[in-house]
Amino acid sequence: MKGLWKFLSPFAPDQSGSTAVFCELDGLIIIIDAGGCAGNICGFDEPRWFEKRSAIFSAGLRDMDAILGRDDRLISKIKDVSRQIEGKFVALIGTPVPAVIGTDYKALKRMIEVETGIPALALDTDGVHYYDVGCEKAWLALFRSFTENTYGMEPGHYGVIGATPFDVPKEGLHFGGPGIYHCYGMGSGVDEIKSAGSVIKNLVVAPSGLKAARYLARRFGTPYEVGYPLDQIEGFDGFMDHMRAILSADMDVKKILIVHQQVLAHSLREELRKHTKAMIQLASWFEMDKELREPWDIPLLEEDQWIRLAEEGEYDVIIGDQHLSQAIPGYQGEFIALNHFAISGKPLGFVI
Amino acid sequence: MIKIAIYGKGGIGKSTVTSNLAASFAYLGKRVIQIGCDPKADSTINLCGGEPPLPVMNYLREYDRDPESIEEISKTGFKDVLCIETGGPTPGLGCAGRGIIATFSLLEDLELFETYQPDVVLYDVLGDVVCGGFAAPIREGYASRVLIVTSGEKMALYAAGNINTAVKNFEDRSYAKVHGIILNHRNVENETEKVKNFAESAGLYIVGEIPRSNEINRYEDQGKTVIEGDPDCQVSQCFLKLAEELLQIPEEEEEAGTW
Repeated sequence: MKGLWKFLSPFAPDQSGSTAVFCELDGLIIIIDAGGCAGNICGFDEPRWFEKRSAIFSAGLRDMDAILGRDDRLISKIKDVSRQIEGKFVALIGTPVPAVIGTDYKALKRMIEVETGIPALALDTDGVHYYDVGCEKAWLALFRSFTENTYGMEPGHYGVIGATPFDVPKEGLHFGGPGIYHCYGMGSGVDEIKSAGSVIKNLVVAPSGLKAARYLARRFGTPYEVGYPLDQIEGFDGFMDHMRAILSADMDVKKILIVHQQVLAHSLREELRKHTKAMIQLASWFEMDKELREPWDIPLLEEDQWIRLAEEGEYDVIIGDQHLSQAIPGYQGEFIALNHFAISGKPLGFVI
Repeated sequence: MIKIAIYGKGGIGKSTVTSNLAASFAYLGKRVIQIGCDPKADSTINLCGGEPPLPVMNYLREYDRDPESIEEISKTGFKDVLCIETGGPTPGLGCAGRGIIATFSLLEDLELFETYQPDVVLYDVLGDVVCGGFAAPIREGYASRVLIVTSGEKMALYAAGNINTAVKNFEDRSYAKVHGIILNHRNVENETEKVKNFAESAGLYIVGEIPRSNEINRYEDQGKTVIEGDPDCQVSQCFLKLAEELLQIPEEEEEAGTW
């Protein structure tokens, strides 16, 4: 039945995705909610909340604020906090409440900038979409708002777009070659965003970074490459040993399904194709970009659809978050766990 | 592109004025979109021969998914005016204001303006600015000017005053500004004088006057605007004159919302 999920718990929503992008950038992050969304974002979806300093606030909306449209109270609170905490920008993060009452984010952004003199960003996240949609909006808003014009490239400098704890477990992604890698939002700040026009290439590690990479390509002519450094994933060597073993043994592996964020899944497919001629399909609960999508790849929308796909798709191997296996007791093949923080809250990694 | 929202007391003739203005702009060779923002969904009925388009809310209720094209939720009326109705929830349930916001968001996703490239967009809005949803047509990026329709009746003028105050309150939000008043005559005693006095006290101009006319009713019975029915009659000439004057506003001022 559409919309009825009996086995899988809800995935990380868009407001968590946007917050994750801004978390390390020294801004004042205001979640426009009553308190519950901010609680979930900080308590469950943002591991850095407990480790790093970040100014994340709930707007603390109440019934009468919604009924009376008291935007002026919100502005006044933000003005007050901006006097006490120096923020490089104000980021307003939408949640279901402002979405339902039709809050005008453009007007709020304008009023905050006038009242505080600090640049503001407002994202119309609504809790109905998944984390990747919120990340995508936030990346695009950041580069559009802060990236300054540049008059040349800096050799050896690369930008990394799309990294948040949902897709990248920790800072310091390596890409094999020499160079200085500016991993936006995880280990670098607003200054790097400002000079993003001068890198020689952008590396996109999650689909949520693609729109921003294309924007920078249009504006500065910066080329971009899409892919995830698989050797950085916990348990990758063990996984490959296992795959090589089952692919070289007499087991007849004809069909493999990878369920993950599309960029990582795409890189994994490319790697596995070096070892097998089996059909490898990708499926994802999150955005799937046309650039990486093959005709047989599958966007997942419903739990029933997932169960049917896994149990009737005749896959010999399925690779995906461990949590997804709970819904498919009838699946007869091998399930290899590759956890995804946005699905189960477990850090990215193979569990062999 | 000129984008105008038309407000006024319920029953004052907003839909009649809006659809006759749309027909006038189209008659003058302009590409026009009219968006009815009233749950009754009858704003464009006289541009469409008495058969308005399927309202957006009805589409969403029926199909339980977003439309994939503008054609699914619009109808081409007199002289190719593109007609859209937001519609609304079942009376007594849901939230009509939210319906307007959802419709606008959907039209943005479908890239209505980029695809259709209109010269004029008219928003026909239900009554007063009662909540955020009914202010959506005057938010940044939508209408940049407001026309208030009123007669000389006391309650119509009272509503016009409220609308003017509400729009003024939005000044710091960069919303649309009130461009002026359209006096829709109802044969009230000293009507012109009453409306002139109101306009003066509110700091507004009367930008158009529509005389009481049986022609309007006659052609509405046939599912037509008076512009379609008889473009040469006196009342049609009033609408055409107003449309011509509205087209005179320089584009850069329009876009900057400096009115």
